[in-house]
Amino acid sequence: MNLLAVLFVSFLLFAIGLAVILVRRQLLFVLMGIEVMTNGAVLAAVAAGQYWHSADGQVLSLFMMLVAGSELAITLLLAMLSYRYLKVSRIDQMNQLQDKLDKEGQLL
Amino acid sequence: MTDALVTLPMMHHLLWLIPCAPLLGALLIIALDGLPTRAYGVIANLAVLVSALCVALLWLSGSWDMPVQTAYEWMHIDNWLLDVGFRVDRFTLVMASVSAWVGLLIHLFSTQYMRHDFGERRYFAYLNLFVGGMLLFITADNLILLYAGWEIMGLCSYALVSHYYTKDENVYAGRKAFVTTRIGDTALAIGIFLCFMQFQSLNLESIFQAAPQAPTGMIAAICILFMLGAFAKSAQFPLHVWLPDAMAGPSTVSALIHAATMITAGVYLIARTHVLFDLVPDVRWWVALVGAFTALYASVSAIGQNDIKRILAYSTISQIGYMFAALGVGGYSLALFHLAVHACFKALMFMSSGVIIEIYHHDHDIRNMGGLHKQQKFLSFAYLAGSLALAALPLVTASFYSKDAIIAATYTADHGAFLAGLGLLGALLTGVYSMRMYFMVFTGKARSEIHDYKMTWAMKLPLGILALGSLCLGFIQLPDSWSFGPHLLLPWLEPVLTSVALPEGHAGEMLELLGAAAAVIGILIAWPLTKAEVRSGRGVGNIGFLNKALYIDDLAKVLVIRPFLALCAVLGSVIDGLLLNGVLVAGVRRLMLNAAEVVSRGQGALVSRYVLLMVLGLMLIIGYLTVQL
Repeated sequence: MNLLAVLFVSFLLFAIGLAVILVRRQLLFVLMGIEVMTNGAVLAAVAAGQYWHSADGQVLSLFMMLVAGSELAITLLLAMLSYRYLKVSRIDQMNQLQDKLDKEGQLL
Repeated sequence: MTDALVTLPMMHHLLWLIPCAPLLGALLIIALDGLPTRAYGVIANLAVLVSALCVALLWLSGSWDMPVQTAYEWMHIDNWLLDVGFRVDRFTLVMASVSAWVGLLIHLFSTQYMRHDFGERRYFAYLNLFVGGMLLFITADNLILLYAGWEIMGLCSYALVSHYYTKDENVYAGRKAFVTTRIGDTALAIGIFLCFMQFQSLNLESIFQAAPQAPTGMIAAICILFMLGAFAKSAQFPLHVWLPDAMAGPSTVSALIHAATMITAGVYLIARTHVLFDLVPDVRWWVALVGAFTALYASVSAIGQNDIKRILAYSTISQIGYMFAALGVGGYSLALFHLAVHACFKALMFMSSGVIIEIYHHDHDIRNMGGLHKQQKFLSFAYLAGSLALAALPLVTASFYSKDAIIAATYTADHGAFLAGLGLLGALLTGVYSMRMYFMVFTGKARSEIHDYKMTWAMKLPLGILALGSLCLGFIQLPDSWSFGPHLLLPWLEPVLTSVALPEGHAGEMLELLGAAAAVIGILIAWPLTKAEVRSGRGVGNIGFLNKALYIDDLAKVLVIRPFLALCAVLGSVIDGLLLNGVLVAGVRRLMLNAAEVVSRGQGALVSRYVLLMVLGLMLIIGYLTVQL
């Protein structure tokens, strides 16, 4: 199998995931973007393992899936809580910690 | 003469008391709160009395040949030393006597005159400070101390002229006096700097000793600057504009300013530094020219005035002009003589005018007065003495002896006939306006209601003494050409002030006769002039050209004040409004805000933007590393 092609697909996944994160404002889509990026990275790890004939790549990918799964559990929980308490599901509205200035430059 | 009547060896340790007693008095009046108002008057009087007694003791002890007292060492920088020192010579002594004693009489008069007036405590504090400043100025033995006294007087004149500060125009008059004299103050300060630059010393005595070796250009520059200072302080043309407006203050203040302090300071300054002026006769001649011209100009202006105090103001300008004419031809002792005489009659007239104005219910216009002689005999005779002295009636009044000597002395200078001519013409007009004022106020029928006014001894005594002085002071120094009678003052002053050449023979006699004739003719003109004015209701006061004093003040407004205000407006809108406020202040603020906005947009609580920045940062780092490797 052509390594470059696999790596290209993995980079494509990573880039698509990144683009989703940068462009989408829905929290769930952002989380999906993160997953896509992780998958891109996992694919690269597997491809590398295959290339060097080493089990390390597959071990690494298992760990990464585990981490991604745990992370997803927590972030989904957070997403649900934020929707419940803040009534928002968009990340551009989750900015309650920012300092807002009025036209005169004073803190609101 | 040098035989001491009383031996007081300690006297030269008491010199500091002469200026410091009134200064202390002012301090006491300011510091002691809650006393009854009369007490402040008493403190003020006592303070000046101490000074006056010290001066009297100097006379009695015969210590007039340069007692110097160094009160303490003020500054000592490397080997340069500045002391707070006082010194008295014959010239100083005469001047200090005039200031202290006339000042005392004015204080005494004020206690009744200002009673139940407005702001008595403030008035007395400043009055004391004023006399203190003048005496400091007179007795100072170095230029710094002299300048300090000079400035104290500037401050006090401002404060006292705008004494009735609730009216806008009075405050304006105070400001005008302050700002106009400030021109002279600045000139004097620069002159003092030049003195220090040239002589490395500010002590008068060492400056005088080093002066003959100094370059003439430098001396001339110093003298011109001192001259400007004196012109502004002594209200000489064209810096006289502040004086007629300075009548806004109480009449006693005018008396003090015109007779004992302030105005005479310019005369004193030039006479004090006459050693320098003697070295540059060309510069000195200009003093004479300005003086003689001012004498004529001011008496022309005085004729057209209806306000009694403005007549007196212009008469002062004119009389001081004579003193400057005398200074300019080297007749320093003549100037001093006339100064003393002038102090007597001008203090007398100003204080009386205060009473007259009260009697006519605060109306200053002499056209609304008249007929006062029957009601106020004493006041009338005192004022007559003053008016005649101002007009210089021959033989019986003091200023005949002082003023005519000045006119005679100017004749000997370059272009002397011209200077003397100005002086004689001025003398003629002086007779006219002086007696017009007297006739308008005291003779004829009353043209408005006359209020009762009882003068106590505290008012009559000063007026009496001053009236006596106005008439008799001249007898201490009869004209040189007279072989009889006392010639006390000028020869006595000669060691300090040098003497001036008077015209010999026929020219001298001619001038004497002309001077006497000018005064008499002036007085004789005044009588029909006044009668016509009273009868027709129109007179010289209605001539706008004279009444506005040849429009010099308005000219100054157009030429100086208006451009200055325009410049202020331009600077205000361009520099202040646009450059400072618009660009600098608002611009910096705008810049900060915009920058802050840019930075804060980076952390605008948008997660995706953080990620973008993170990615960009990562790419930068990777790109950098790639390039490096």
